[in-house]
Amino acid sequence: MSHLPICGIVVYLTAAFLTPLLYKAHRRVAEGVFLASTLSNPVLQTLLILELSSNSWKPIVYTLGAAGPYEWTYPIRIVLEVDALSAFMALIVTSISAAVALFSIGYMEEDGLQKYYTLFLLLDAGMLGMVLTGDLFNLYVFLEITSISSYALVAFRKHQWEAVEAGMKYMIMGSLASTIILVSIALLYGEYGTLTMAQLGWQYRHHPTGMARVALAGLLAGFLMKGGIVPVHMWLADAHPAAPSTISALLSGLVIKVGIYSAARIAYSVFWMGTDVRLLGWLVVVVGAASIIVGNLLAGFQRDIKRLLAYSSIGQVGYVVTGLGIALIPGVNPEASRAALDGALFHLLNHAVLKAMLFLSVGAIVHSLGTRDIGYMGGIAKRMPLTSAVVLLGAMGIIGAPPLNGFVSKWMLYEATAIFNPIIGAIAVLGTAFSTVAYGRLFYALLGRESRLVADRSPRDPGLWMSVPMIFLAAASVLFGILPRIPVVGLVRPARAALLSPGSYTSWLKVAGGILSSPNLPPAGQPISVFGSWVPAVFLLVFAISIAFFLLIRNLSASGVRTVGEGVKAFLSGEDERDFEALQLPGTSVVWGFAEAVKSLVNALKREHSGDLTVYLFWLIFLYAVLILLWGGA
Amino acid sequence: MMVYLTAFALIMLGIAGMLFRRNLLKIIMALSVADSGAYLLLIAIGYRSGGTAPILTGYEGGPMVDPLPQALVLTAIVIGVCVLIMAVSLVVNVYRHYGTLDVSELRRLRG
Amino acid sequence: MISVAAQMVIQGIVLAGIFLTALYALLQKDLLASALMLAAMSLLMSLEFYLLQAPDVAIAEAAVGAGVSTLVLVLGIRKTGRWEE
Repeated sequence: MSHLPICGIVVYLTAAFLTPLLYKAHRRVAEGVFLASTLSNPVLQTLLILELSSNSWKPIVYTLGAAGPYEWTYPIRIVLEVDALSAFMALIVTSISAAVALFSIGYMEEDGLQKYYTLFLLLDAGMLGMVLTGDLFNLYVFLEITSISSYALVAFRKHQWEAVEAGMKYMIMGSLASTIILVSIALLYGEYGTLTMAQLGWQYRHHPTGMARVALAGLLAGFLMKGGIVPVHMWLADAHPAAPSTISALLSGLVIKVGIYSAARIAYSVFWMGTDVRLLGWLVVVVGAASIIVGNLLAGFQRDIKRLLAYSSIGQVGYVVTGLGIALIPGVNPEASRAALDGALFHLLNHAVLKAMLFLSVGAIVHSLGTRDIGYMGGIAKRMPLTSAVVLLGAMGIIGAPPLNGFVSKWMLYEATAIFNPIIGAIAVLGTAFSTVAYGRLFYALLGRESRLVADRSPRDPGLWMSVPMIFLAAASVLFGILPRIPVVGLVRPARAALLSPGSYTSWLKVAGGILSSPNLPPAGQPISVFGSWVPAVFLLVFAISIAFFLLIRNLSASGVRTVGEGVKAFLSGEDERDFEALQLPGTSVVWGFAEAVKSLVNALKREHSGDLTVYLFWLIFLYAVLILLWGGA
Repeated sequence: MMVYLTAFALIMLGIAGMLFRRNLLKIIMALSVADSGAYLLLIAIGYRSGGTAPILTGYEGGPMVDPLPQALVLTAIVIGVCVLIMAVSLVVNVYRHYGTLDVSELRRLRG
Repeated sequence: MISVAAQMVIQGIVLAGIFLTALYALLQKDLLASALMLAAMSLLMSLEFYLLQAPDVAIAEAAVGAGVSTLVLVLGIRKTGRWEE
């Protein structure tokens, strides 16, 4: 048996405990170990993918400890199960972490690096373990490793009140979610007497019970919280900006994706075939659509640039979750459901690349300016051309501008959602409109008039260590945009096929002699092009609904002309407005008019994000209760 | 049966405590109560009536209780105490910055 | 070997004790008292684990739950404040 699956985790964990020891001897040695472990891991995962694909994507099962004595009829050992989806996620996790690790060598110079390296590597080990494991309790253990190190990293700069408050809220919410997950795991064990996910899936398929459905509700509520989905997303907008920028890149790029992955793995591979999951799929679609609206809308009303990116993460993860939810619903046009999954998984990859790139480059700007207020970043593009170019490229990618990777995955999702349900399709389009407003402000700010702060500080592009990862991520983003077939055919489609065939996930089990047959295997599905089908009537409907939204917003927007005030400061590079008294904005102006139109909605949403931890906890329990009542009870 | 009831009662009590108490340390204590409920639930699931402890030394035959949940609970206890230590150290830092442990005062980040 | 009925009674007492100490710990305004109540709960919990034939877990719970957790909580209370509100 090849030991490849466990290698990555072992490398991370060994390095995590070596670095503090070596740091005592010499700093450069510790850095070397840190870099060697993070940079070698993508290679290991690539080898794993090659091994998988050479074996026609049959899942690799790796047993920790002896495989005997009962063969597979009594699975009590911990197993790692790597299928195409796990390998796809593992490659994303390790590659993005490698880029971020390279960046942090230059970036984290002043902070206490000793703890940083260990926590960083533990976080990586946790995430890698979560995507590779085939055992539910092992998933919980790796989840806790991930969570504890991310709480510590959010509160890393503990001399700042912001980091401490955000870390506290993140920690309490995350721990409650973990407890809910633990209780659900206990219920599943009590029900089926096993924790191997493949075995659980097989058991559930043959003896579905109400208790198992309640357990699924808890697992989903917990993992959706870890993924930052509305209505349990409030911690995200606090925690991601408060962390150092490299950690924000990891949290936004990877940690929430791994939460979504776990939810998808459990929903698809364990529970999908057992019962009718129509209602569950709809619940997931609804929370995903809500995330698209809330995240992207609130992103447009932040002055703190990292908070803007964090809210945008909520919105973009909403797209992923919506796609996953659509494919969960049985009876949807199979073409649409495949396109939805392809789009969701490809968007997951693209968003990881884009958000890591954005947080890293924005981190470089914030580092050199000492402020996160967009209003004071005017004209920085002249001083930091490379960094600003990367920021703007990332912004265009997230909006979904054509030559970039964000466009491809979003287009797949538009098509899938439109065919699935025109209203959801219009919401997907609307989310893009909102995020255009949010990131449009970045264009104004970075390319605008030079602000006094920028003139004083005269920032410069960062050095080689920090430039290389940014350029690497930007190149990946352009490459995936121009040649989407490479990642889609090579990685996304096998991953989608793995999700859609839970039978193959359990196929290695030997039950009472023979190999399990996999019942209810869905039809293998014809290969479809990257761009799905074009159904004119449906798209016309989507356009009609979108235009109705547009007219509504336009109607609500203010009429007349306004003299500039506080609201436009962001577009005037934080200058005093006295010089601009003559400047006037018409009511139809995209930014001001739009802001006026959605003001009541935004204010209501902002009131909900009251900062009160108790309210946030209530939302988590509320989501749990809704999932139990609607899905567990049925 | 009694054990299951107590376990669920502890979980509910813990969650209720997290929702209705305002003091951060109290919230953390409530969290550890809910965790204890989860441990008790796991151990109860592994229990077989009339079973002996799953220790092979001096084993004299007869049914044993399920050892797996016990291993899980041991792991979960260690994780739980890690979380508790992290949480308390964060609380001390919160107190340093805010001068209070009331969650309703902890609201500078919003919107 | 104790009879089944006696075992039921002992378990009932221990479980009621666990629930009451937890309740008292959460209702109490004095944080130090609640920390000590939690320690008592952990001790009763480890007794219950022992009764449920899980001696290894019982040892861990007694050491970690009643020992380390209480120590950490008391240290936290000393650095902050003893009274709620």
